[in-house]
Formats: sequence, C-alpha cells, structure tokens
Amino acid sequence: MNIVMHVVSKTPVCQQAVTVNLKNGLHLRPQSQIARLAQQFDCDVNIRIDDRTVNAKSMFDLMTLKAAQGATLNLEASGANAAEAIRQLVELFESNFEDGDSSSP
Amino acid sequence: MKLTDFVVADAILPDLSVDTKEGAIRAMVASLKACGSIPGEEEEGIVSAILKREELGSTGIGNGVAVPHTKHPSVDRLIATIALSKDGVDFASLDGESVHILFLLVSPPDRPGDHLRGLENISRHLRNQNFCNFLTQATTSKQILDLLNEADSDELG
Repeated sequence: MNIVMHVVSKTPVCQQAVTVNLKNGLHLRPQSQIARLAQQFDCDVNIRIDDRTVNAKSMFDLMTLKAAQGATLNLEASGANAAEAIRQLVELFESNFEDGDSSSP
Repeated sequence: MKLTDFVVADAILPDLSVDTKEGAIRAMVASLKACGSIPGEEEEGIVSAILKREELGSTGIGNGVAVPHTKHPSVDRLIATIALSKDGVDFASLDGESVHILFLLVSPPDRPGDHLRGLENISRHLRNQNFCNFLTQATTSKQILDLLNEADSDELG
C-alpha cells in the first residue's frame, strides 16, 4: 500500500488510487458498501474518476460514477482519521468487496 | 439514455398504498404486467427475483428513495416503473428512513450494463433538488411523466 499524504492548509489529505476488479463494474451493492464505510468517518471522503469528483458518503453521487471493470478510481479523504478511512476503503476494493461481486439477480 | 426510454408510462403508480416492502414490489410488478410489459406467467418469478436481490442488501439507498431491480430473461430491454408513497414504506434503507420514491427496474440478463445505466440515469436526476421536490409533490401519472420529460430535456434547472 502506498498511501500518499500531504498537508494542504493544515488539513491532512490522503489519497490512494484503486482499480475496480468487479466483473460487472461498480454496481449498487459495492456502492452501498462504500457509502456505509465512508459514513463511519467524520472526515470528508471523495472519489475522483477522470475529471469528476463525487462524495463517497452519498449513494446518489456514487451511482453516477460509471466505473466499469478495470477503471481506476482515486480515493481522497481529508480531516480526522483520513488515513484510516483510505486504508479501510482500499482494503474493501482489494478484497473485491468480499462477496459483493456476485451478480445481482 | 432518457428516463422516458425505459420508464413504462402506463405502469406509473402515483399513490402507492402498501404496508410492506414486499407489498410495494408486488404492486409495481403487477402494474408492469397490467401494461403488458412483462408476461403474466413471469410475474411471480420476477417478484421472487427482486425480493431475493433485496435479501443481499437493501436497495433503499437513502433520502427516501429505493431502486429494487432484477435481471430477468422475460424482458429483452430495460423497463422500469415509478411509484410514490405518501405514507412511506419501510425498506430497511441505508439511512434508516422510510421510502417515498420507488423506481423498479427489470433488465435483460445478457446486457448487464443496462440496469446500471438506468440507475446512473435515475441518480443523476435525483441529485437535482428540483426533480426530487417536483416528484414528491406529483399526484398523477401525467404529472410524473411530464416531469420525466422535462428532466430528460434538462429543463429543470
């Protein structure tokens, strides 16, 4: 893991790029898992793809991501426990959302 | 992709009155059957598939919205319907709140991207506060349909 951390205006900002390995891309179930996890943290958590940034705590935002299999997403967190938030989110992606990859019926 | 491409106008339910999540799903699938969008003999199979998907994780995504969905071989393209519930339905949503806006989607199994694109489309409009406000104030199918057309034409501002 290679979490990049830098300080902007005294607020630590953590970033890490991840790849979507899910066969069907980032569909509703993994999106729900991301939102649930991000909501546990007080810090801001965003996901950047291409030139768009969405709030990882918002399902409506996550649903607009259009992240197909193989897409690279940039996770960003700033504020309290930002590094821990990124660490856990990266783990979620790297575990392929555990059993979240089974196709929706 | 436009909302009116896949939302079945005649299946819209502007005043859903049910007590349970299952009741809401049954009513919306029955509405699609009544319009001929799904074959009658597949109704139960589709309801079961949607309920099974709900067991994996609620499609109550928060902010009073639910997006129950399934893939099913009886459809050859994405179809959907909308229901509004004034009293709210308990959907075991992410935020614990009851659901007032329901989008139900059925898509063909051999085109896995279709329902994702449908959901992306729906969520893009739901992020617009005007769309949400007008939707929850709608009382007739026609008002909902007009709203979908305006949203598709980006007329909502």
